[in-house]
Amino acid sequence: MTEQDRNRSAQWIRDALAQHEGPLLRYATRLASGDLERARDAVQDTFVRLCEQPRSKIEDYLAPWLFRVCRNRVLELRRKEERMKPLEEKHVNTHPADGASPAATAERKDSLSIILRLLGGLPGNQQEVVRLKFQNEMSYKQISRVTGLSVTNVGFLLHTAIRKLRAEMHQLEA
Amino acid sequence: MTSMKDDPRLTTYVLGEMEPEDSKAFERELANDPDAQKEMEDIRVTAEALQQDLAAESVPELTMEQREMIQRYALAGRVRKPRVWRRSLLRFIPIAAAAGFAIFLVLREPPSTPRPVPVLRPALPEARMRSSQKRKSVLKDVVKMQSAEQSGEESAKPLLAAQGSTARAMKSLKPASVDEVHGARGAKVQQVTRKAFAMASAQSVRHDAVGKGRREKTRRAPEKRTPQPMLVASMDRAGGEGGDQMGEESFVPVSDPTMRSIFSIDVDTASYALVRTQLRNGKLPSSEAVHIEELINYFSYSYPEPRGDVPFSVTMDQAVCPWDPKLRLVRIGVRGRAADYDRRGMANPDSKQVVRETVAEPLGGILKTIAKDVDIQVVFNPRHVAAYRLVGYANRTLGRRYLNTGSKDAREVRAGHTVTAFYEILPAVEGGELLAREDAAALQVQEKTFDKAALASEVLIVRLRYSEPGGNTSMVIETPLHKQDDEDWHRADSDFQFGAAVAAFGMILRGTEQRGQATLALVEELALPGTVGRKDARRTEFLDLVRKARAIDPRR
Repeated sequence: MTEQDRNRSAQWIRDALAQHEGPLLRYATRLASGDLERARDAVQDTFVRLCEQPRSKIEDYLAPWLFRVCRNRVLELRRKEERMKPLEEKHVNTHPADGASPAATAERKDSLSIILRLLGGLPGNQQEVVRLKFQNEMSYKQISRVTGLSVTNVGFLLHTAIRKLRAEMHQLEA
Repeated sequence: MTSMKDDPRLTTYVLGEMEPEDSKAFERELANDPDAQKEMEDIRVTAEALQQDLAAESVPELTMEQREMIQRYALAGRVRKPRVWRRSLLRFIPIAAAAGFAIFLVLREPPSTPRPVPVLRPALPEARMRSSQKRKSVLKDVVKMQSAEQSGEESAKPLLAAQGSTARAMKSLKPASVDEVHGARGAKVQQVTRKAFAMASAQSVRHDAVGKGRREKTRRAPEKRTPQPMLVASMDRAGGEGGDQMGEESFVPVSDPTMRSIFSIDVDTASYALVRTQLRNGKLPSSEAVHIEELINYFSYSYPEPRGDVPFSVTMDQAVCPWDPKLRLVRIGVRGRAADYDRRGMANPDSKQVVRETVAEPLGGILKTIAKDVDIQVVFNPRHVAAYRLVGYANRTLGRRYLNTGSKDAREVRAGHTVTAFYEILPAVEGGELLAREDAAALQVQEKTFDKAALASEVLIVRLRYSEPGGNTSMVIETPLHKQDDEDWHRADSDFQFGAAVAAFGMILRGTEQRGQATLALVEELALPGTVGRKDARRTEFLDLVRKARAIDPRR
C-alpha cells in the first residue's frame, strides 16, 4: 500500500467515524441494556475492525456493516456475561427483554415522550427494528442485513410494533 | 371482501418500502377499503411521531482516547489477518509444565546488578518439528536414553529421571556453547547446538505422552500437533488450577520441579463489564462472575517499549504483599513491540505520550503480528521461594477457554499487546519451613535452572518463548527478577500499586480465601496514587466502583 493509499484510506475511516460514531453508539448502548462503557468498547472494536477491511468490499454497505459488526460484538459480550452468571440471576436479568435497567428507565421517565416510553415496553426485537428504521433510517433490506432477519420478517415486526404503539396511544388518549 | 387493515403491507407501503410494480396493484386494492385507509393514516402518524422523538434522543460519544486509537489504526492501514473478536492478550496459565524444558545454557549478569536484564537466544523448539520422520528418530533416541536412565532410578519417578538425564546431558554441552557467546548490552546471547535442539524436542514429546497418556497418538501424527494436548495435559497435572473444580487457586510448593506457570494468550475482559454493571445496579456481583485476571487486564499499565530487535519487554515489580505481610507480591508485565508506524511517531517528541498510552491499551495489538507460538514460563528459585500462587484464574469451566486458544494462530501476538499477572510468593527464608520440602532431589533439579551466581540473587525467571512471524526458529527472552532490599509497598511504583488494587478488589468480591487483610479501604488506598493526575477514564471509573462497593457493603 502506498503512502497515498494509506492516507486516503485513513481519511475514509475518519469520515466514517464522524458520520456513524454517535448513531452506532446510541444503538449499541440500547442493545447493551444501557451500559455505555460496554457499548463504547463495542463501537471502538467495530471501527478498529473496519480499519482491517478492504474499503472496496465495505464501501457500499458501510452503515449496515458497522451496525451488524457492532451488534454481534455487543451480543457476544452479553452472552459471555450470561455464561458467567449463576442460574437464578440469569432468569431475573433476562426477563425484561432488551429493556434498560429499572434504574435507567426511572431516570428517563420524566424527559421521555409517551411514545418512546411505550416503545420501551415492546419486545426487544421489535424495539430494535423500530430504532433501526426510524432512528437510523435504514431500509428493510439494510435492517435485514444488520439483524439477520428476513426482509418479510422485518416488515412484520415493524407493522406489529407500530400497531401496538398506536393502540396504546389511543388507549391513553381515551 | 375482508378488510386489509391487518396486512403488514400497509406499513411497507407507508414507509415507501414497496416495489413500484407492487404499489400499483396495492393502491387499487386500497381504493375500496376505507378501514385500511384509516389504518394507513394511523400508521403514518405513529411513524412520524416515532421518527421525530427518536431523532431527538441524545447521541453519546466515544472517549477522546478511543477516537485517537481508531485514528492510529486507520493510519496503520489494513493488516494481513483481521481478527478482532478475541482480545488476544497473553494469558497466564499455571501448569505443571514439560519436564524437559529445564535446560539452561545462559550466562547472566553477576548478581550485584540490580536491574533485570533480558537474555535473548534461540530457544529449544520443543514443539515445532515439522518432519514426522525427524520426530520419530529423536523419539527413539530418547526412549533409549530414558530406559538406560530409569533402570537405575525408581520407576515411580519417570519425569524426574528424564529431567535429570537432560540436565546432565546438557551440562556436557555447555563448554562448546560458551565459546559462541557474544555480548549485547551486558546480557549474553548464545546459540544452542543442534544436538540440544533435538534433545529438547524429544523431551517434550515424551512429556505429552506422560501427561496425557497418549504416547501413541503423539507419535503417529506429530506434525499435526497443536498446543491443546500440552495445555490439557498440563492442567490436569496442575490440579486446582485448571480442570472443572470451582475451588480457589491455592499455593503451589516450589519443591515440585515440574511446577511452573505458563503465560498463554487471550485474556478477555468481559468479567469487568459484568462487575461494573452489577455494582452500578447496586448489587455485589456473584463470586463466579468475578474473574480477577480479566479485571486486572482491563486496565493499561506503563510498560516500556521493547528495545532493539526484541519484540517484547518484560517488566517486573515486587513488594511486601499489601494484604498479607508474610508474602511478597510480584507483578509481571509483558508488552509487545508497537507497530512500525508507532516507532515512526516516536521521532516526534510531542507524540510520545499519546503513542505510549494508546498503544498500551489492552485492546491493542490488532495490528500486525509481531510474534507467534508465544508462551511464557515462570520458574521460581527454590532458594527464595517456598511456594507461589498466581492471582486469578480460578473458577474455570472445563478448560474450554484453553481449548479454544489452541487454534493455529491463537498464540500469535500482535503489535502493542500487553498482559499483566500477579503472583503471591511465600519466601523460603521467612515462612518456607512451614512447607514440607522433602524431595531434595527434586529441589536440586530446580536449582539447576539457576546458575550458581544467580541462585543467590534471583527470585524467579520469566522465560518468554516466541517465533518470528515468518520464521520457524523459536527464540527465548529470559528476564530474571532480582531480590531487592526495599520491599515496602507504599514506596512501590504507583502503577504496580494500582494493579494490586484491582487484584485485591477482585479477591474481595470473589471472597477469595487468600485475601488476607484486604479491604475495600485498602483497595482505595492502593488505587489512588496510580489514578490521580493520570487522566485515565478507566482508572477513575474503577475508584468510583470501589466506592460503590463500599456503599453497598461497608464491612468489606
